[in-house]
Amino acid sequence: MSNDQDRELVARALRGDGRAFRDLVGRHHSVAYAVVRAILGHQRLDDVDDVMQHVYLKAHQGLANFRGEAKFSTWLYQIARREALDVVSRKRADAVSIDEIEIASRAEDAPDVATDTRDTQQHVERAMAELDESYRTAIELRYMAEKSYEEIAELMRLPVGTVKTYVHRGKLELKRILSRPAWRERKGAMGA
Amino acid sequence: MNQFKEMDCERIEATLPAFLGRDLGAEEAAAVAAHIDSCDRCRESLAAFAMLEHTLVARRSEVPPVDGFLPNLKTARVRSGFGARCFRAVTSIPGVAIVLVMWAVLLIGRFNDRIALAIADHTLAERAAAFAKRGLDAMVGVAGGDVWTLTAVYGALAIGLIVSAGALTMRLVRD
Repeated sequence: MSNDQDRELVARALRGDGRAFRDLVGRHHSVAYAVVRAILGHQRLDDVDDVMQHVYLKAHQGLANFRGEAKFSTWLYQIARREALDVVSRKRADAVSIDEIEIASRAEDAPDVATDTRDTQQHVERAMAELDESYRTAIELRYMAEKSYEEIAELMRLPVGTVKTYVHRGKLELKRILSRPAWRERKGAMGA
Repeated sequence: MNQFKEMDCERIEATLPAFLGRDLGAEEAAAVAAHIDSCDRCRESLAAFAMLEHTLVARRSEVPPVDGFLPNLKTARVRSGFGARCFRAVTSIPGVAIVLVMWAVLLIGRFNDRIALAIADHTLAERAAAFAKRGLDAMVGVAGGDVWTLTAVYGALAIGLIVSAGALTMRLVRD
């Protein structure tokens, strides 16, 4: 049913119906956003908006090439992934210096008091940046895009069991990162 | 005994994300639950994972609405079919170059006498003018040979030149 709706929206969008295109990408927006966030990571958050605009521009321009053999979400996921990886490879040199700054700030400049959910989310966000990209993508698709393991497996073209392993190991890794002394100090400050 | 307990806790901790996500088999889930009941350390670990899960779920609110990322659909048309291929051909650099060459042939052919007089090197100028004249004659011949057809050819090429150059500039600026 969902695929039929996508196909119908694709056909209408190809006939020039802008509203149909909006509805079409709106249905899969969280997937595209999650994968872009996962690949760009915490350090390149400023690039997320630009990449997302490119993703939808590319999707719009290439819509005629969508044959319907794969799901639209998979097709969009591939575009989003390609666009994000393109930015990462173009900015690799810059990223090294940003990473160095990030590490330095972690060591010297721990925040005084982190009292609200927003701060906790930022800590998790920064810890996410240290995860392997596959773990990060699986976790973002699971939580940010609210996808089932089966859907993630289809998007990432992996067995379901591997996706589950990525999500679980990713969470173990996150907890390990957040348990480091520097992170625990912040937790202590939260409790103070 | 403590060492075994330590190993047990490490093994149990590795299963806690799956336990929390209800991804363990019934037997394994029961064993983990029994261990957690009797182990403060693993209970704390479970609480930490639950907190992490809660934070990850809360990040859903960070997904901004799609509307802020959509292209301007009035200017970004879907590029498909014969029309799109023609548009790409006309707005490509070779497309513009072809139109410019045709214009040069038309203009030189039309004003060949004046150009030949204006250029000091008559031989080269005459050769270029004669070549262009033949090109013009051929184009007019193909078009039917009357003055109205010739005017139409000039008009079409003028429009072609404006559209090609304008669209090419837009593409270069946008990309």
